Amino acid sequence: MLTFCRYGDVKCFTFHDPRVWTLVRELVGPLRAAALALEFGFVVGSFITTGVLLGRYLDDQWGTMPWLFMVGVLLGLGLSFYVMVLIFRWQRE
Amino acid sequence: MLPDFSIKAEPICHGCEWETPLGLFRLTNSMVIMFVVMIALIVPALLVRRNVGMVPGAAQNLMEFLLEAVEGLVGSALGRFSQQLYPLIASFFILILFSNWFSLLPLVGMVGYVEVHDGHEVVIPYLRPATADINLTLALAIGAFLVIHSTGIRSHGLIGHIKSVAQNSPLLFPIFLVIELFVIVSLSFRLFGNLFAGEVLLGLANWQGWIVGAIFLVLELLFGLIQAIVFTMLTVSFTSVSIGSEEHH
Repeated sequence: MLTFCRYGDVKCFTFHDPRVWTLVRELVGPLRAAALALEFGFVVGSFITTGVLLGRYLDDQWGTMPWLFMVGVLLGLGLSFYVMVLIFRWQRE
Repeated sequence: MLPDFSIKAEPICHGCEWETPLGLFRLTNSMVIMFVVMIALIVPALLVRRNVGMVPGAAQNLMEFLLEAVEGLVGSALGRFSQQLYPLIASFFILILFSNWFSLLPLVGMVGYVEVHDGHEVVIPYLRPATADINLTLALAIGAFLVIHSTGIRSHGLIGHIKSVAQNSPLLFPIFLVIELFVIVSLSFRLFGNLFAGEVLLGLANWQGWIVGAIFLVLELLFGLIQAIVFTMLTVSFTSVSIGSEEHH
């Protein structure tokens, strides 16, 4: 049967042991935090870059460089924060 | 196509420079990221300040955690000036930390316009880490230098502070003055060198595949934190030395 051992534990335990699920819960917390941090990076990075590219494209079209570029950066930042708050709330629920 | 590893920050477009009474103003890629970091820090801080409670929410918890971390670093090193200097030292730490970490966001430093340099096509990024620009690190170092010496002057007067810098030896004063001025050079070039080297390293590592890139990304996360701590701790310790010598006069 598959057994789990933690470093320093003398006794191993099986899937039927409730301590297995305590261990799983201990691992899930930090992993969830790491996933949220990673998600934050991707959301902020991709939203800002999209804003930059869109702003630059519109600037090229209308000859307004760099104003729409800056607006794109700010909109990207604002939207990324809004989306992160939504993700955070959704995870808490 | 290789990204452009230019030591100086580049303008985000060809016409992005304006004549001002103070000289030529050039909107550079590191300046854009600096604005982003400032807004990303100031707006949430103002929002959290409006809703401060005895039972902190998630955002207040995060802010308190950051500020308590700096409080732990500053400790009692600044004596009677610790309450006054704490906001400034904390601002240094948080600004440098977030500027360093913003450079690690996906696509930052990768997306840009193409230019021909010496016959090769290179990508000039729209976004460049703010601390990988010597202008910002130099400004921060000058700020730190002013804090160190203004605290010294407030602590034991102008003459007392000059004596303390010269270590009571008028002949050696010019040498000690040069040493003091080199604080600006050492603080600014250490931060700039580490971040710029990290940026070059990440740019090259990404060309070796995503596993190598990911390893260096984790290292850069650590270096970003370490450099923020080093800058803050050096400012605190230089200020502490500047205050501490008042007891000898």
